[in-house]
Amino acid sequence: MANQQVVAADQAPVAARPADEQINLKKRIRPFEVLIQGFLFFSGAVSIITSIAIVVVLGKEALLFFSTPTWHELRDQNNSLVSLATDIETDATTLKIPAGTEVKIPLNGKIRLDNEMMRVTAFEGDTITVERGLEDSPQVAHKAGAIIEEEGDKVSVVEFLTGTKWQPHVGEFGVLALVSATLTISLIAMAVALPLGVGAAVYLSEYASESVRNKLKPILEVLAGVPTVVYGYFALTFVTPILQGLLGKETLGIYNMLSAGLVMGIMILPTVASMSEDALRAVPRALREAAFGLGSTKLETSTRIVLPAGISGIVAAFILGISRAVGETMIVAIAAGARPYFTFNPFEAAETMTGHIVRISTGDLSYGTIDYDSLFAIGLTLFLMTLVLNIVSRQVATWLREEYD
Amino acid sequence: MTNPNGTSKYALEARNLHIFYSSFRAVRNVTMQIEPNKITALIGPSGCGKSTLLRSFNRMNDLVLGSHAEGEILYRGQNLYGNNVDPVEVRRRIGMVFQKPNPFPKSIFDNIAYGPRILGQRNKKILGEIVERSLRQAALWDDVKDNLKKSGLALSGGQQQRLCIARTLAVEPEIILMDEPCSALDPIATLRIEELMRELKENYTIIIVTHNMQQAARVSDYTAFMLMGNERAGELIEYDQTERIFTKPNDSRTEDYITGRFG
Amino acid sequence: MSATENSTNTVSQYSQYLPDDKQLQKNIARRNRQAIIWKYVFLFSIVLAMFSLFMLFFSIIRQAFTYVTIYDQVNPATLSDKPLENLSQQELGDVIENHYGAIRTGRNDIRTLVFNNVLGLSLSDQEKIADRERAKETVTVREVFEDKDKKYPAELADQSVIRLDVVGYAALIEQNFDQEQLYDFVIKNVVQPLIVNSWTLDEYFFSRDKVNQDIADTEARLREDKKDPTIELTEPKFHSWVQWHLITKTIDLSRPEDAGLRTAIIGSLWMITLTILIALPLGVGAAIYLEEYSSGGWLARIIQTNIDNLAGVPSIIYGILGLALFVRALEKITSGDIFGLGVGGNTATGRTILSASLTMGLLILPVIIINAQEAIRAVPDSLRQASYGLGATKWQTVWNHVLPNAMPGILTGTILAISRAFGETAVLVVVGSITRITVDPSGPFSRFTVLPLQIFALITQPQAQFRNVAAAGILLLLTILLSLNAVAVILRSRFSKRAV
Repeated sequence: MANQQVVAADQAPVAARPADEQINLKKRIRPFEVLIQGFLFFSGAVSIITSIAIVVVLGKEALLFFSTPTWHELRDQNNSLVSLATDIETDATTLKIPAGTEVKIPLNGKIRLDNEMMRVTAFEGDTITVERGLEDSPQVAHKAGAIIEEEGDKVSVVEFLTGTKWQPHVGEFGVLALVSATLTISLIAMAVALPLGVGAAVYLSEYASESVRNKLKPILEVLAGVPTVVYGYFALTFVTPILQGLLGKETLGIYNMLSAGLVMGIMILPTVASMSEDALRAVPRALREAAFGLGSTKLETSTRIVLPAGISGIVAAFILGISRAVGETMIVAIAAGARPYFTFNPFEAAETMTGHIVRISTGDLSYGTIDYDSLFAIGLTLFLMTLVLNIVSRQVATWLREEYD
Repeated sequence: MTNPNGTSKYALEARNLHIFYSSFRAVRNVTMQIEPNKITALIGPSGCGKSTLLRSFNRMNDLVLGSHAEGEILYRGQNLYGNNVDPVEVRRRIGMVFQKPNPFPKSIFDNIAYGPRILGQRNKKILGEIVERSLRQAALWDDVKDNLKKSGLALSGGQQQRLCIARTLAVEPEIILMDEPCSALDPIATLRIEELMRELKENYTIIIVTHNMQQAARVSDYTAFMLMGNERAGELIEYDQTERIFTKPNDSRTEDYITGRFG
Repeated sequence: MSATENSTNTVSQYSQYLPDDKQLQKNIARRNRQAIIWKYVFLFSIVLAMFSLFMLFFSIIRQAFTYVTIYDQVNPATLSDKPLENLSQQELGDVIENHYGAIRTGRNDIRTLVFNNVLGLSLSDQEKIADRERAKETVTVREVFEDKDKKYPAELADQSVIRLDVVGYAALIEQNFDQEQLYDFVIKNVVQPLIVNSWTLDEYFFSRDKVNQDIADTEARLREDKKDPTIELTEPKFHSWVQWHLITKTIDLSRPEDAGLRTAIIGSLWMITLTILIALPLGVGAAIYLEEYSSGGWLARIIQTNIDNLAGVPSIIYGILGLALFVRALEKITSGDIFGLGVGGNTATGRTILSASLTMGLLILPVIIINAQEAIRAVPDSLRQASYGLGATKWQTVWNHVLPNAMPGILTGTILAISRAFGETAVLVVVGSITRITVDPSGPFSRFTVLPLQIFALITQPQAQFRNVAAAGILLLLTILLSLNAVAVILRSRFSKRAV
C-alpha cells in the first residue's frame, strides 16, 4: 500500500502516508491571520473608544464651563450699557466712563474691553484705574464707545440644573429653560405616538392578515425613513398654518411647541408601533387560544390578555420613544422657535436643548467662549437623560423576554 | 505500543480522555486505540457523548465555547490536545463528514477545490485532477462529470453527502471522522455510502458515529459502546471487534442495548 | 325542542352565578358591537399614520409646484417690437447691445458664464489665468479666444480677459452664442423675470378670490416700492420648482428661481462615500469580531452593550463629539494641513468633509454592526464546520463562507445606514458644514455643505420663495432615499428567498 503511486487522476486513491513519516502539528504563526484578528478587535474596540470619547469630551468641556467665570456687560443704574468715554492708548492705565454714570465696580474685580482683560485698582467718579493686559490678553488701544464688560461668577452646577433663565449675555445659565421645552414637546409627541402606535400595533398583530400586514408595514417604514428636516418643513409650512387656522393667529404664533410636538409624534409613531407589535407578537399563541376558548371576543382577548402580557414591551417602546423625542433636533430647530424660555404652554415658542445647540452652532462659534462651553454642558445633560431612558427601556424589555423563556 | 521512532502502530489513541463543556463533563475517562485502515463505529443511546468524543478527535469541539479536554489523544506520537498543537493543522489530517450534508453554496468543482485552494494549491490543472480523483474515490464522478459547474446544493441528498466526502478526500486526510453520515439519507443512498466506506478503508482510517446498530454491524471492524454514566457524563463501556460486541459482549449493558432492551 | 327551552331548563341548574341567558345574549351582542367598534379604532391608528404620510408628501408637493406671479424687471415690449423668442441671433445681439446698461448680472457671474459656456475652460485653466494675472502679466482676450477658436471684438483684443467690465463680457457672449443661448441670456440678464409671489396648488384651487386679491396687492406694493405706476405683473402661471438647474447650478441666495443645489449634492456624495469607506470595514469588522472571534467573555459583552447604547445616543451628541474631537483636537489632520493638502493659511479649519465623514461614520457604525451581526448569525453553522473540518483557518472560513453568505444582509443594513446618513442634518450643523458655499468640494479636505443642510438653510431664509426651492430639494432628497430603501427591500426579499 505504502508504495502505491498516483499515476493518473482516474487511477483512484492517493497513497496512504507511511506509518513512520514524521509530521508536524506545531502551532504555526500565521501573520496574516494575526493582522486580521488585530484589525477585527480594533473594529470592536472603536465603539468603546467612541463611548469613552463622548464621555470624556462632554465631561471635560462641561467642567470647563462650570469653572470659567461668566462675563456680562456692565450696566449702570438705568440698566443701560456702559461704554468708554474717550479713546485710550495702549499703555494708559486710566479709563473714563461717561460723566454722571452711576455704576458699581468692585475693587480688584476684572473688567474686559474687546478682548483685553484688566483689573480695577481704583475707581472714583468717572475714572477707573486699571492694571492692563491680564492673563496675556492682548494689550491694545481702545476707541471711545467700546462696551465695558465685567466678570461675573462662575456657573455653579446647582444654578445650572435649577435655574429657569437661559440668558448667556447676562450670565444666566439655567438649563431648565431649555429642558421645559424639551419635556413639553416630548410629552405632546408621546401623547400622539403612544395611542396611535399601540393602536396600530394591536391592529397589525391581532387583526391584520399576513398579507395586509406585509403591505402596511413598509408604509410605516417609509414614515420612519423620512429625514427629520422634512418633518420640520412639514411642521412649519403645513401643520402650523392649519393649527393657526383652527386656534387663531393670536393664540398660536408661527413658531410654537404644539406643532413641533404633534409632528414629532408622527415621526416617532413607527418606532413605537413596531416595538409594540414585536412585544405583542411575542405573547404566546396559547394565551390567546385560552382566552378565545373561554368565549372572549377578539377585543377582549387583545385588550385583556395580549396587551397586559405585552405591557413591558410597550412600556419599553414608550420610554424609547421619549428618548427619541428628547434627542430629536431638526423638527424643533425649524418649528419650535429660538427663544429659551421656561414654559410648559404648548402654544408658545420655546427652545429645546437640541434646538439651542443647533442655533448656537449655526452662528460663528468661536472656541473657548462661554457659548461654546455651554454647548457641552447642555450636551452632557442631554446625553445622560437619553442614556438613562435607553437603559431603562432595554431593562423593561428584558423583563418581557424573561417571562416567556 | 510505541515503536522506536516515536510513532504508534495505532492511527489514534485516546488516553484517560475527559471532555468538558464549561463545567459540565460530557465524556469521562475514555481510553481507546483506533486501528489504522479499519472502520471503527461509536454506538450508544443519544446523549451518551459519542459525537462529542468523535469531535474531539480533530478538535472540532474547540468551536464550542467553553469546551476543553483533559487527558491525551495521541496521533503519530503527538498529543492532539498538547499545548503547542494547531487545530487547523489537525483538521487537515483528520477530516470530518457531518450528519447533514453541508455542501458550500458553490459549484461542485469549487466545493472540492476549496480545501486544496486554502492549502495553497492554485494550479488549475492540478486542481482539476484533484477534483476528478476525489469525485471518483467518492463514486460521484460519473454522476456529475458533465456539470461540475452546477451548484452543490442542486444534488440529491445522497449525492450531496458523497460530495462532502469527496471534499474531505481532496485535502488528503489520513483519518476520516463521520458523524452519523447517513442519518439524513434514504436507505438506497445509505447503502451506497456504506459501500463507499468499505472502499475507502483501503486507504483511510474511518471512525463513524451511528445510532443505527445494523449499520455498525454491517460496516465496522471495531465497535465502541458508550453510555451515559454518573452526572450525565458519557463513558466508554466496551470496545472490541465488532463481531464480538454483537455476539458475545462482555458487559451486560452492551448486551441489553444490542438486543434492544433500551436505547 | 327549541334552543331557548333547552337553555331555560339548564340555566337554573348551572348558572346561579352568571347572568341569565337573555342577559348573556344581550351581553354578547354588546360585546361584539364593542369588538367591531374597537377594531375600527385600531384600524384608524394605521389609517391616520398613512394619512400623515400622505399629508407629508402633499405638503411638499404643494410647495414644489406653485402658481406664481412674475415681474419682468425690464419689460420685454420695450426691447423689441416682436416677441423675443421670434428674434434672430442678429436681432438678439442688437437687443443686448442696446441694453448693456440694463444688464444687472454681476461681473463675476457673467465672467463665469463666458469662461464656462463660451470658452469651456476647465477650472485648472481658469486657475492658471488667474495665477498669471497675479504675477502682473496680462492674459489678453486675443490669446485666450484664438486659442479656443472663438470670435471677439477687435477693440477688446488686447485687454485682460479677466478684467473686462460687464459690457465687454456681454459683447463676447453676443458674438459667440447661438440664437437659443442668446434668448436665454436676454431673458435671464436683461428681462430678469422675478417671481414676486407664489401660491400653493390648494390655495389656487380652493381660495381663488384670495389669490386674485393677493396678486392685486402684490402689484400695488411693487408699484409703490419702485415708484413706477406703470409696472404690470405678467400673466400668473404655474411654475415647477423642480427643474434641471436644481442639480446643475449652485445656490444663489438672491434669486430663488435660479438657486440650485449642485454644491450640496456633490457634498453629500463626497461625505457618503467617505463615510462608507470608514464605517463599512469597521462595522463589519466589529460584527465579525463579536460573532466569530470573541469567546463571549466580559469584553464582548461590554462591547455589545456599548453598541446597543450607542445606537440610542441622539445624533446631535455625535455632532458635539465630532466638533470637539475631529474639528478641533484633530484639526491638523482633518484640515489636511499635516499632509500639506489643506486650503492653507487662516482659512484652514477642521470643518471639512473628512471631519463630517468621520463623525457620520461613528454615528452609523452601530446600525451597520447590528445588521451585520444579524446577517452573520443567520449563516448556517454547518458551513463553518465543513470549512473548519477541511483544515481551514478562522479567517479563511470567515472570508470564504461566512462573509459571502452574509453579504446581502450586510448590504441591506449598509444601505439603511447610508440612507440615514444621507438625511442626517443635526450632526452636520454642529460639525459645521457651511450653507452659503458655492464652490464644489474637491476632496476630503474641502469645506462643504450637504443636501439636507442646504434645505434647512433654505427653510430658514426669510424670503418665502426659498421654501419652494426647499420643497423641490426635499423631493430630490426623498427620491434618493426612497430609491435606496427600495434597493434594500429588494435585497432583503431576495435574501430571505435564498435562505428558505
